[in-house]
Amino acid sequence: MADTRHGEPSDVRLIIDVARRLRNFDLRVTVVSPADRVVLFGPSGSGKSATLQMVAGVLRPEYGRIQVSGQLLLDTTSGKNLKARDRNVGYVPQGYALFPHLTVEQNIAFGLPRDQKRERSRVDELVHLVGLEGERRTHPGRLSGGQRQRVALARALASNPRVLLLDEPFSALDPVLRPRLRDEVRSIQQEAGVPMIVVTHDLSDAFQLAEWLVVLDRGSVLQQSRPDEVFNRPATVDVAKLVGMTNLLPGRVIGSDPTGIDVEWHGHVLRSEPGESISSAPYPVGCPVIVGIRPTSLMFRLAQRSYEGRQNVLGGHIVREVWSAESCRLSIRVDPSHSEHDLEAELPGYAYYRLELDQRKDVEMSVRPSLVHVLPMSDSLPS
Amino acid sequence: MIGGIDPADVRITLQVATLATMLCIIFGVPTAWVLARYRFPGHAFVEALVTLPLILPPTVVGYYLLRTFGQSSPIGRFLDEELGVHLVFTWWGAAIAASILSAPLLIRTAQAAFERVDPELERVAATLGRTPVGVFFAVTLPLAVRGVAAGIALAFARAAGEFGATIMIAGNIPGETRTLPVSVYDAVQVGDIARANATALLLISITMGVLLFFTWATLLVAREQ
Repeated sequence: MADTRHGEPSDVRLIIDVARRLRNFDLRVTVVSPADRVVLFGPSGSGKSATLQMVAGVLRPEYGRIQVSGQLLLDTTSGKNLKARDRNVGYVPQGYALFPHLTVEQNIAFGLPRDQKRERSRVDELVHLVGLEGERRTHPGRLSGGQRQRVALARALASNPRVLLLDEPFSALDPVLRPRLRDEVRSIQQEAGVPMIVVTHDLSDAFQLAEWLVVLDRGSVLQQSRPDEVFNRPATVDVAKLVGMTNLLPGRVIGSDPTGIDVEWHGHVLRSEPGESISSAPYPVGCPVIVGIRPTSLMFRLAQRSYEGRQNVLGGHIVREVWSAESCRLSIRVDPSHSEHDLEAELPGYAYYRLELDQRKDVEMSVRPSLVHVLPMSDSLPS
Repeated sequence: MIGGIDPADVRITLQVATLATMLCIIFGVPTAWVLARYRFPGHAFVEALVTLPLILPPTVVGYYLLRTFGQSSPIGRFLDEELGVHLVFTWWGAAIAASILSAPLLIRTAQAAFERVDPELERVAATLGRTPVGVFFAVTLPLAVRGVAAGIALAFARAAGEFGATIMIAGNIPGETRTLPVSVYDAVQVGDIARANATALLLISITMGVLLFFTWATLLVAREQ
């Protein structure tokens, strides 16, 4: 990543390369994104908000370089550091920070560039864009969480920013409202045609908003890639845990060929076929590895069907069922019993009844080899 | 005048209190803002220093002002010889004394009000293109207005009632430096109980009036928000 410093390829949309000592850890983050919609994802205290504040110009890195859409905002080696007021970013902090003494339209007008201060039409346009025509003269204290978020978004867009910076934009919202506002933010952003960096600790936010997903923990980037890549092929066990790949099975490589790897796990053979050509066979035979399987990747066999000739077939019985609104999460003890490695499976409610799981607890499952992911044993990447 | 109140006493008191309050605002509001927003080495010391006049006997403050601005000090001589400014035994000196004694009330009240303003709002205002001064007038001050106004009211009331330091630096010259509080003392000294009563009552009315006016005004502002 360090060699991006000279002659970035033209498809690089965003560079963040910053370092700073924070209270609990050293932040050292390098993001190079080819896409306009970037999500910084990680648990709380991972340094993602601090990184966003550095892009906004309200927190100063000890050294670093930030470039957004070809515009250099900060470069400590050349001593360049645009002040927050000169960066032209649309920063929406957690909790939105609306000005409580101003009405909705005054809040939005606050973001207008100086030469447009008197342009009513621009405020009208933004009020319309976020659908708050009825609340123009309302103060933020009287708005709902979703309305506040939209005011904050309109205020940020009013300055015609070169990038929108949203810190946990949905965390203060009703969970029922979240998906709708997520869609709304995405469509408003696309309509306005402004690049966006979103900070979130929520997996669904990350997956649905990101074109480029950056996974952070304790001040470091664990992985950055297209979101489906991160979700299906996490680089490390830590990333796998963060992105909800809960089945992490320790095994040993027993075979490897150009299309896939066979891993032995407690007497079962699990075959992984990543699809793309396997990069120079990183896992030699005998190598201890972790097999990662998402809970939604396990397929159950109907009671009357046979799995003859299929790969990655596992038998077992259900030991626990946890229902949420639309889906059921099952804990399955695989035969022969390994209580310390129960598999977790998640399936929609209708599938549960279609499979007659209310009547039988013994199940047979299979996993497509393309959905079996092999991870290195330790968190250091195979060289 | 009623009860023998000297109108000059009233005029001088209002002059002294108004100028003292203006001095307090000019120096006190920025001080309060800096104390509220920044942590620096010596922060606690500066806080203690600006609070000191509240605790010290006013005569001590007056005594040091006399030593600073009197003819025996280089500053006093410089002001006299180079600029022709006389602070000792003038109402200007009384105003300076009153401003120093009122400053803690304004600074500490305004500081508390500024501290209650969420710094995130100021950061966002900065990212929206405002200069630090612009942020202060568009965000910080409007949100702290009640506390700042209360501080100004307290400072004015305190300045109008200042006695100890005033008599040290400005003395008791009727028509020139005699304020209402000094007049009360003077009246008692010469046995003019009628003037003492009337003047004391007037002083109470003025300070009450100022405090009530500011309370009413800030309620009006607050209702807007």
